[in-house]
Amino acid sequence: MQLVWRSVSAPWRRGIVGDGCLMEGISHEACSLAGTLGLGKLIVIYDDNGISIDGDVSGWFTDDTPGRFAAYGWHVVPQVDGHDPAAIADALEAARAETGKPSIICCKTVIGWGSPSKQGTEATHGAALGAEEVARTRENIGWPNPPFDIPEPIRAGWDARAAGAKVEADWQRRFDAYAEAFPGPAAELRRRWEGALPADWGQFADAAVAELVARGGSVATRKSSEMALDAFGPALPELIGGSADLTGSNNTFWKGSKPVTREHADGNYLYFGVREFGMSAILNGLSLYGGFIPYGATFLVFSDYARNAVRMAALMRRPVVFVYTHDSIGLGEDGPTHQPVEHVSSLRLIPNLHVWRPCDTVETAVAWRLAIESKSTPHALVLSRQNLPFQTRSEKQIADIARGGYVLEDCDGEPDLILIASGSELGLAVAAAAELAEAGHQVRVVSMPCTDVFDAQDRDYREQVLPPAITRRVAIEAGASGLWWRYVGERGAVIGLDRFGESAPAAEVFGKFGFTVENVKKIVTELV
Amino acid sequence: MSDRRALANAIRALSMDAVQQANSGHPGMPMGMADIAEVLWNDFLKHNPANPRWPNRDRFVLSNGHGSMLLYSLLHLTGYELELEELRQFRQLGQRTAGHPEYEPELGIETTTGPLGQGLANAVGMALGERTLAARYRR
Repeated sequence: MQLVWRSVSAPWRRGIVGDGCLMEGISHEACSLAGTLGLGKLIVIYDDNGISIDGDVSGWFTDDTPGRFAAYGWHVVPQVDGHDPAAIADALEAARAETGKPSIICCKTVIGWGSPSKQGTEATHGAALGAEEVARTRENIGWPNPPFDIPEPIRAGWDARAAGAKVEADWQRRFDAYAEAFPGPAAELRRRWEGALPADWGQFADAAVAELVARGGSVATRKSSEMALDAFGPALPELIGGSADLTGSNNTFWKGSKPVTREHADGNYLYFGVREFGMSAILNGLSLYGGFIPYGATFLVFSDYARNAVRMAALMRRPVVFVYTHDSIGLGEDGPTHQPVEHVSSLRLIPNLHVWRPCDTVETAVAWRLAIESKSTPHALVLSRQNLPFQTRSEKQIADIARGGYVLEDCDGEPDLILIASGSELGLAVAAAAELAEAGHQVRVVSMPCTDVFDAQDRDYREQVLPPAITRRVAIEAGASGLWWRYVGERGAVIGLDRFGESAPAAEVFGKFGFTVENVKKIVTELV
Repeated sequence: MSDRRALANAIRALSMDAVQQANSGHPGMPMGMADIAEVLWNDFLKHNPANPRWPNRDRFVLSNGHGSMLLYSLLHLTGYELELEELRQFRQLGQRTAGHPEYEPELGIETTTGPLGQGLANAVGMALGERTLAARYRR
């Protein structure tokens, strides 16, 4: 039945790139991987016009581009005259015939073709030609029609509606035959194309979370993330992901993972190599393609490398999952080059990105579930290298995790002090609260794994968690302090980290920077 | 002038006129790539303007997104629901003809491009998606 499938699904991806795209480093990351994986249905058309914004690229871009792509293992069609339709068609035919490798068609073109005095120069790149030059261009290319007036014969020559309806109808007939022969796979494929989760997902996920709650255990949240993948993954053939060469450290290879290779593409695990930016933009591409819940992992500190692709996921409203492990100074001995201190706050600044910094297995599982169920918001899951204490919760507290922030521990009666913490500092807040309570304080501990989601709750809820009358508040997070002031107010305090870390065992680094019960108690005594 | 050149010139005219009207934009790329786009879209691309979400469509990614008028011209001319008025309103508030193409699956805009190189990486992801789906569901 291979023939059936081939006729069912054989779409091609065609991309047009310019000099600028090929100068950008991400083009290397993505195209190198595409060559290794032999993505034969990818055809790239390179607009080799020799011009970028600063002018003729001969001063800054003299690569042998055909040689470069040949070295990636691509099929290269060099030296195509981009203004000769027959040559272009021949090149596209050749590219289509090569199914084992991606193809690049290198087209020599003249930027601004047709503009008599500006073509071939950067003057046509980023500004209007000017009324006079537009008029002269009309004359030069033989286009007498007024602006926005397309003559009927030209319209007819372009109209693709009839051909498009036919090509889809033909495919639909083949797909219907496929669906009749293989109803199960066809139904699953349709569900994935529609972006719907499995019909029994809600119950399945409830049971999975309950099982993780029951299992308990004080593990690193990167391990909790693997446990969540193990729990949710079996229900989700659309889950596809991997790591930028940190699989063992990111804990992304869950028990149902099967690597995608050049020879065996029927897997769900991607070895991206050391390519954080490329990975993230490829994840966006998988999400845009449809039928996938893509995730990709690296160390949090390297989210900087990936950042613009994360921003693009947020801008495009694609629910990609970015898994960032080895948060903050808990990373320890590798030192400040690898200790992200500003990254969590910085990611929180990206609109429509939900940044979760869970404190244990249960919060991690809930964060993963929300990321999987998301329709239009990407998620960043910030996870610890080191073990974190498991917290016990009521059913209501478990439900409230999904509200981004909630009361994890409370005193009898009215609190006079609130400790707010996230992720790896939640355990510290709980330990400090116990000693403060013994010393006579009425302490509430608020766990705030996701400020984005908490901020979106109604005022009633937010004020239940953080009553305005209680001004004695301390926020604890081993990262940039700035964003926490809005939760603690002028009279509160923030125990954060507004400098780079140090290379040493994690416990010593936490101690040096004041993430200790003693320091929390001291800060509390200094509150008004 | 060949017929093909006349078809391509429709892209050139729409692009330079829309940029002129907005007094802002990038005419050079669409004018330079018009002949390539004409052959690709008229003779090779498998798509249905009436159903931009057809799962088996070929995906077209304009990685050099500053040449957005190339894409808007193509979508308009081939019959997607992008009216001439929206081309006239290129780069204006509330229009779908933004300075750089913004992901709009109902219109045939497959991804947001402009940050150079990322559209190319998106296309690699799309090709990877097709590859793994085909491998899983092939019978």
